[in-house]
Amino acid sequence: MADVPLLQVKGLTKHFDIHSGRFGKAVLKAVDGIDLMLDHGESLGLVGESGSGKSTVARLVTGLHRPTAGEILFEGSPIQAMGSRDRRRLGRDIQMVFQDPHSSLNPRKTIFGSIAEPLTIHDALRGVRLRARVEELLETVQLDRRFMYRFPHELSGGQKQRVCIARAVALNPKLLVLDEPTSALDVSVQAQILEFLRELQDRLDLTYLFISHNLAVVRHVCSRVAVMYMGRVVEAGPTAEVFDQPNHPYTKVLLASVPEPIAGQQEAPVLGGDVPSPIALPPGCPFNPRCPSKIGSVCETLNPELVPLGNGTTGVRQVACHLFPAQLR
Amino acid sequence: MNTALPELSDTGRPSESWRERHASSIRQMRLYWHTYRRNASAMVGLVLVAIFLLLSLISPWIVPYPADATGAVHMADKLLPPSAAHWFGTDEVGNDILTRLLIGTRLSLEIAVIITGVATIVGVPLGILAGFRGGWTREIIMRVTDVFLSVPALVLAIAIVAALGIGIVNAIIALSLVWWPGYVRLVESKTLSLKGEAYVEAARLAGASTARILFSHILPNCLSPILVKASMDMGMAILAAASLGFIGLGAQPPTPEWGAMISIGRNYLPTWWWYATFPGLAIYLTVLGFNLMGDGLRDVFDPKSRGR
Amino acid sequence: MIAQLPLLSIEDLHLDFDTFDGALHVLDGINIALDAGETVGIVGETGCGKSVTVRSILRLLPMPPARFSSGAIRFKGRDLAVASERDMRRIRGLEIALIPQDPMSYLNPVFTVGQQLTDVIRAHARNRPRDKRPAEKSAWEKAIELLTQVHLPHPEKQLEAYPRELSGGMRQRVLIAMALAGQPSLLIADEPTTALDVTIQAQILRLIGDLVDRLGLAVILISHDIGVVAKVCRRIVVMYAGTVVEDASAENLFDRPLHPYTQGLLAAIPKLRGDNQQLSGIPGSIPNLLQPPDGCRFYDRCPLRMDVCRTTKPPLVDAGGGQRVACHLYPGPRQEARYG
Repeated sequence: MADVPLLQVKGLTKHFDIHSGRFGKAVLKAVDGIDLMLDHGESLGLVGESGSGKSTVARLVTGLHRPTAGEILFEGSPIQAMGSRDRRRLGRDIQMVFQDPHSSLNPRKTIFGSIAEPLTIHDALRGVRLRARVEELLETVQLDRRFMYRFPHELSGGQKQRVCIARAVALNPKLLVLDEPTSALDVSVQAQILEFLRELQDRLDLTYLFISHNLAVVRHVCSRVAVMYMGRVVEAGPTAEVFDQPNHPYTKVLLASVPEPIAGQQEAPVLGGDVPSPIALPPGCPFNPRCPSKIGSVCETLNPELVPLGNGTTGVRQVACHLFPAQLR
Repeated sequence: MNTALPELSDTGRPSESWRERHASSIRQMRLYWHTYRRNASAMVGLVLVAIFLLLSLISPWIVPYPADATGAVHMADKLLPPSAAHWFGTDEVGNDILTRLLIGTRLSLEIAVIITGVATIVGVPLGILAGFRGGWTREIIMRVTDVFLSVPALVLAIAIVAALGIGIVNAIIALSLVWWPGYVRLVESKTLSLKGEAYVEAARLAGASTARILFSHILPNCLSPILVKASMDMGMAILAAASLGFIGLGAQPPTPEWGAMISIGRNYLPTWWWYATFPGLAIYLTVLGFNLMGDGLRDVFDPKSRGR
Repeated sequence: MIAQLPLLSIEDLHLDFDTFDGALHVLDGINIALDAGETVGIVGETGCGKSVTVRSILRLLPMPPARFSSGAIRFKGRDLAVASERDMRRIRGLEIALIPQDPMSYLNPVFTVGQQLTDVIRAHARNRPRDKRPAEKSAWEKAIELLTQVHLPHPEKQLEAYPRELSGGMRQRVLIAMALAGQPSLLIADEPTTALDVTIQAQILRLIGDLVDRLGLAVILISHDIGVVAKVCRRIVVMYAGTVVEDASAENLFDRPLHPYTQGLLAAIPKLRGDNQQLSGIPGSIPNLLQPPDGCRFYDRCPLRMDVCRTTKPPLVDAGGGQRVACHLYPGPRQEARYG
């Protein structure tokens, strides 16, 4: 196992300039300075609600967006410094599975065409070898090879998502970014896809960056989790520990809000207020207007840093909250 | 990982037949056809267009008086009413109107195809480019398009013809020059909405170049609205050319263009009614046919617009 | 025990959709009953017919191509399946109201919230039978009252706002207010929180729970998420491919799910607490509704199927404790009595 983490993100920031009706020109701080680390073979979950920036992180890591500031290091090398040739090669190593299987496939292309695309571009495969590789990939995702000739609208949601996974692993990537891969699927299909993803990770030696708003799914797939709110990471650590003993007030409320399939649930604290707009972020900690454990004016003025909390039993836990000030050395 | 080779014949071709491999496309075409067929007005349109196409193909061989198409003069037969010898009567120089009408069909088809063809070839790439690139590219293209669109097409065409000189060729040139902006608008907005689709992002991630994305992903998904507009435009182009012909700026005698025929035939109303009426009917039925067909196509491709 | 007339009783409802390829047998004998003040959740996956069922209560489906092939929908004794359109107008909103899934597409973007809300209030006032018209109160005041009821802060300001200026949660509250405007006795919520964030969803579910308690409303809540349903509803109905497969109190359903589909569904849900268990999906897919099987519709995917399941449809029977299930594994009390 390499010492260098597969993916490391430092101070990653993405601001969008937008024209907001009321404010004229404004800045949307989608991602506001985050640090993440992913080791080879791990699966890190990124959770949050709308506006948290998790989807933007996915697009920054895969190169679909360019960061406004900060660094992304893949196997130790910064991505920004790479020339276009190296960046193209990076496309083999980092791939993505998108949220909505129904719009992830070109409706006018056959399944064969969609899976073959990365192969034709990068490996310049054609003819017999191309067909053989596509069939191999379909088999990897447990779909009959005759699906090659079908169009997306003839497939179910689960089948489409498998095709997207086949397309994503076509070039044998090292890192797979999954952006809500099962949110659009029925529960019974989701279960199959999740189990399949777990098994695929072992088989193909993949590393996952798994984005989801569904905490239970993340618990199931990811060994580590980072909770995001308004473009910042507010808590991170081993999934089981973070979910069983959350530290950050937002994490606590988030966990309590998840409706569980058990009868007669006790009245959990419900978070008041609305999810704020990432355009007009309040100063200080972004969570302070809604925080039930707000301390005082420090929360309104100072944005807390993400600091390590001493070792959890299976890994480092971090939290960004004034309730847990940075340990003085 | 399974490394067994798939079932390929020695020639390397897959084991399924062409039919099996394209079963999905065939099925889709069949579905389109069945949907189209159930729409009565669309079928009427299809029949009219089919007749139009057929006549334009075979007219030189079926016309009763071929010489009349190029302006032979028989003053003895001038302005005869419809009869067995001349089904649609004769004009003021004795030419059989049916003959001229049929030859005019061919001319109308040429007009329609050239104008619509040029408009799509110019307008569609510009529209895709504008929609996809955004920024200055889009600004420039869209503003130029806006300038063209803000002047009534026919007026602009008249101005161009006036500059270039009268005649059917210049009329076609003028109309081609004013027709393309509509396609830019249509395709630009469709491209804008397609740009954000997940499969376009996936293509970018797969390393696709911009050209590949435009040809392979954007363009095929724009085809339906383009096809619908093009079929309607065929009729409208004929109408526009006829309008130019009507005011004397398009085809000149003896060219048997329908609009030009009405232009002269107008002077012989109401006594010698057949002269203006039959070319008028021809224009009406042809344009109607294309419009109904276009409507039918739109209903087939975009079921949501179907009123229920 | 004298049975009180249920508020709503869907009796053996069969609904077909006429399509190009033939008739889709979408609902195959639905039996659901609901008393006044009761909260019932309907869960199921894509194609189970839960949305179609509730929309047919309000006759919101396009009636061709949809049509009732048999059965009845009795609301306060009256069969809604055969009621006239005029009668349905008196019922929609006034007796039975709908909270839809996506608030943004149900609000007209070019009118303010106030305009839309007062519009609804006035329409209800017109549609009410003359003898039941309420005392004169301006629509505006009524609108503010309703927005206060749904805990929307600064109601006067919200009335002046346009829908796009409101957040998702606030829009949903506006729609709930609209639903309450007619003072209905039954509220149907069709995936009311699916488009909302988890923390906002919790707020809305709590609101619905409060309204149920305070106003004594009966509620039918539809969701693909059993957890959501469990938060508001005492009773849960599980649907599969157009049939009701299980109908039980929330406790009973989670403690001892009887139908194999319910068991499969619960086993497929990842748990928030507890360690990584193996999730089991349900392989296969719903049957072709054009030619549904003669027997149980779950036959192809059922791990416990028997021969009789292929040929005979299992009736919905009482399995004890108020729990009803449609499965040949549970023959039902009548058959048991034969041997008892």
